[in-house]
Amino acid sequence: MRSLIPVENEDVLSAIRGFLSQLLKAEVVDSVLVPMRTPTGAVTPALVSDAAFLEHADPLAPVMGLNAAPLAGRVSVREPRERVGVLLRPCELRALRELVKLQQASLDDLVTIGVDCLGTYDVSVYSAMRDDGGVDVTAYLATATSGDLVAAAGFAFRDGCQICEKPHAEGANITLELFGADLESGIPITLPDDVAHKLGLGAVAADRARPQVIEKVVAARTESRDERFSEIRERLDREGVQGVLASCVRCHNCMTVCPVCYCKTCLFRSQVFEHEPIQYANWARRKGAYRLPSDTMLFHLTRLNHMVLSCIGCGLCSSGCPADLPVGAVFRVIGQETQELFEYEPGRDVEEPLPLITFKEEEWMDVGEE
Amino acid sequence: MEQEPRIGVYVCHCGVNIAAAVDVEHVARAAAELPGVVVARDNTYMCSDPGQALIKQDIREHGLNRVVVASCSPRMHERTFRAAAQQEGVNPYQVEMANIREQCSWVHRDKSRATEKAGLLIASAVAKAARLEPLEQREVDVTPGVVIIGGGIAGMTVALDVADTGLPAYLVEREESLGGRVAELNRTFPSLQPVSDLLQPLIARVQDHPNVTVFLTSCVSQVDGYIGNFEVEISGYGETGTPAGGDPASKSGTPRAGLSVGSIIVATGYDVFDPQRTPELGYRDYPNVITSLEMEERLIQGDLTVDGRRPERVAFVKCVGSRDARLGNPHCSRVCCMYTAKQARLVREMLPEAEVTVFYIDVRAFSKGGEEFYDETRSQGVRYRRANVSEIYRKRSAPGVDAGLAPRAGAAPVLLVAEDTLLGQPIEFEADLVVLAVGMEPRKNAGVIQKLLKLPRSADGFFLEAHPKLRPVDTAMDGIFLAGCCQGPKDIPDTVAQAKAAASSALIPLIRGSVPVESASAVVNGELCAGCAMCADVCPYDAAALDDLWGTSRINPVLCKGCGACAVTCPSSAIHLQHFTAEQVLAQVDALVE
Amino acid sequence: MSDPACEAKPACEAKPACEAKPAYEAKPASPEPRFEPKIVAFLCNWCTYTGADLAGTSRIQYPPNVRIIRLMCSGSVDPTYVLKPLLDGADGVLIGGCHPGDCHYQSGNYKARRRTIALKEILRGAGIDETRVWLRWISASEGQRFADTVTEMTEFLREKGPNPMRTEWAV
Repeated sequence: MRSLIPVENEDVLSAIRGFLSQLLKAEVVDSVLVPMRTPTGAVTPALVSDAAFLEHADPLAPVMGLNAAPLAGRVSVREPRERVGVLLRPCELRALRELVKLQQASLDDLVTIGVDCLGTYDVSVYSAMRDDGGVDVTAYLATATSGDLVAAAGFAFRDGCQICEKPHAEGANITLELFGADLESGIPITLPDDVAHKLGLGAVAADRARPQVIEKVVAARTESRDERFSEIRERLDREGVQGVLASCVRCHNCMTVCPVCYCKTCLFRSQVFEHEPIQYANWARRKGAYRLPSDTMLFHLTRLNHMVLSCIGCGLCSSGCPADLPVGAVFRVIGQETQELFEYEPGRDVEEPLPLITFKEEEWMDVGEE
Repeated sequence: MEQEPRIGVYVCHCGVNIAAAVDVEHVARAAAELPGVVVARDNTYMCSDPGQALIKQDIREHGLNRVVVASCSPRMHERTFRAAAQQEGVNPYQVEMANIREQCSWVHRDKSRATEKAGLLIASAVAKAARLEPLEQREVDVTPGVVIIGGGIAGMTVALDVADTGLPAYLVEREESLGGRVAELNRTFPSLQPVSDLLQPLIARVQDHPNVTVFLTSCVSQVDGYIGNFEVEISGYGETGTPAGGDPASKSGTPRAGLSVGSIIVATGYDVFDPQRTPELGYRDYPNVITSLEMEERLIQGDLTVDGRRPERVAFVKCVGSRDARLGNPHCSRVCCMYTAKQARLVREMLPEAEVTVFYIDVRAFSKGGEEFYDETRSQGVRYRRANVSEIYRKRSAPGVDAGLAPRAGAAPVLLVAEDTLLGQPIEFEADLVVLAVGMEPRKNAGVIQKLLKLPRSADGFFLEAHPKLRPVDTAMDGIFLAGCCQGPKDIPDTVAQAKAAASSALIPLIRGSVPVESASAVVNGELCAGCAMCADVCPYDAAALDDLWGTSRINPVLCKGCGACAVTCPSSAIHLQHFTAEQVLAQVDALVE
Repeated sequence: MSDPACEAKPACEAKPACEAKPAYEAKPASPEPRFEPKIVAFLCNWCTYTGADLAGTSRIQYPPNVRIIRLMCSGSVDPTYVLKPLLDGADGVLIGGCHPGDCHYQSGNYKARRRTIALKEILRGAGIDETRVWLRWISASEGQRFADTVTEMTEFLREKGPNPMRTEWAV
């Protein structure tokens, strides 16, 4: 059902808090996983079971330090568990679906609440903005209405966001439809009829500019994406991935923040890559010089092999990179090419099988027969 | 487990087979310098008794715990050297071979480069050997008993052979009676013995045998387990909710029994080609165009009349639905030539005045006594004409005439349009009765058994044997065997022969009491496993599954055949394939790239 | 390079085969030593490894540039097995498996096909020459095909020149 969350005094944030609080009170869910503001002003997800704490909820804060999909996985992956409402950005929703396929999350007792994303800042940028006098939420929300997703003057959205052509929430149980909305008069929402009934929300057939605004946003973002892709593709062709990521210090941050990298212990953090001293000497002799820490490119190429088909493009790997390397853009470029090959769109549908665990007998029939 | 490697390397001359192209002394000297190598030698024939004695002596004297033999293919002598090492207490899985004959000396003539390559192959084998871990030769106990799916002549033969050893045989038949396809036949070829003479005593023996349990109108609805220890659920077939001929694996039938057995035999038979798929042959359009199976029925009834008239011209058309790629049946059905000769002969006997003509592509009378029978058939006046029949139809004499003839319309002759392939001429031939010699096809619901038992099928749709020549009754699944036409078209003697072979093979583990299982299986490190279950998705043997309690993967070492698909799929490297671990393989790579 | 070993060693001279060189070595000897690519081959135990053995028992000659590692199934070739030699400077990697439908483990080669296609696309995307990786279905009875494949691959890589990774230290 399509409805409208009433907004009073132009306070969109309070309206969303109120909505989440109603979900708890009407026992639609037992708790809510939502970004919260700490007493010192940082923003972090928290699992809230007492509606009173939702006064700290800040799902509109334009900052993304992590992808909450693995957290949604944590609270849902196996029984016993409670019914949890998880408020997620589109890239988090996509990551969650990949994690469901990988059995790292379960949708059975989750109520996903998708929110259109207007673009997010890196944690460091967001801190600087707060030091600089804070974020103008009204102006930020106005970009949703118009579809001109611009960052605040003097600041830039995260790399990943700048080339994200899927910022609109899709396929969640409940969707807060910010794009194209006149938010001062209410937040358009799509939700199941029974939930709407419990919350006392009626059907509202408001005119919706959302499809047109999404089209506009997607077009603009696709353009930036393609520009960035051709720049990265050109660099990859010229320098190779070893050139583009040459400054890698193998800190593994990209892997740590990747929402879909689900291994308990990364192979590259295991003993497999703690070689015998003499081995390094042998390798150095073979080539004349041997880069340390070792296996840097093997790390990235292996991670590409493991992950790239499931890369949902949140770009947190770039955000987390201390050397400011375009890891995310590299993954997205190669990801797009590889995903197309298997006609696979990560995060689209939990029923879509992961490409490498399935096969058809009659495909690529010429491969191997040359 | 950490065992300081002490490796012995043995480079074989293989007479001059290796020594002519590889400087064996040189590579042996080089091998002595490799890490972990305690002793390296060359010898004329490592596989000979003195060669093996050399290895054994070194194991004793030098305390070797690993052996590398650089000689022929491991497919040739791995077993030999494993046994030799084992006799001296070295684990057989800590023996590695470098294939410097088939893959080096026999294929390269440039001695310096062949020598260089042999050196690399040995270094690679040594690198692997240093990392080899001892493995146990494993056996599992078996549950005596055999489930046989299909109560035709194949299934009954198996059941009796199993039961005669004193072990229980469970015979599952979906129909209301035993006998299968053979029960629909009149007489056998080439002896012309009534089928009932051989079938009835067989059925009686099966039913009376104290060790045979027969389940009629039943099907197998669930199979779990592995060789030696299968759990088989038997359900009712064709009961409410299970459409007859439908999916017997659907849960609608009531479970009737749960059986624990050591082996399973599939003897589900075949389907007969339905000539409605070749509409040009007029089957079902004209009542005097019938299938060979319908002919059998008429022969049993002893009635060949068409609408009360004795046919004067009887035609047989062979290879209907066989040897025809267009219909998806490129195979020869192997029985049609002989049963057609038999039917033609019987028609001659019953209708001595009738003209009997067989239209054939080729005559394949290969069974014992087959050619003689065919000759005799021709000498008794059955005409054989090499021709491809392209169409069968009835001429319309005049409008309304057919209607006028209505009571006897069925008897009106039909016209066979053909090409005589010897003369290269089109011919037309009028017949009062046409018999379409229909071929054999896989069971339409073979997919159900395929899924239940995870049996592969060959391109023709029949179940696939493990090896076309050497393991013709085995399947890819250990402990599951094939008997009769479910594996491909066969006549009765071939079916019975295969059934007896399948029974013998199925009994081997049961009589032995235990089965050896693949020692090099995949192993999960639970600490690393994140429980994504991709290993379970890719395992062709259902050996991997998530543990209910821990949510991490576990691999049943009995089901695992060591293909390694799971290990590759696991991004966490939580699974390793024993004897082919990533560490071992990468060490080999490192030695080869040098 | 001519064949110094042949001249030096009487054991080899005894074999007339030394004179009758196979086609792939038929080029006239050049003063510059030819580039000899290193190929690491991962062959499945049941088909391609056995096919390579057959090439041996049939004495079908092919260049010694290939070094074989026996695995049980092409479906167990880990991407790392391909990446590691490529980054370490091997000039080519050959993966050999059973023809579709013939896998000893039912479907290992189908999985290998997808995996290799993905890997090659990633390599291509990463600016690493993916044409150095070959996947070929070669059955146990195709000794000639195995020899031909190795000959063809050796020629191809010789044409292409050494893997730049061989001297690239910073990877």
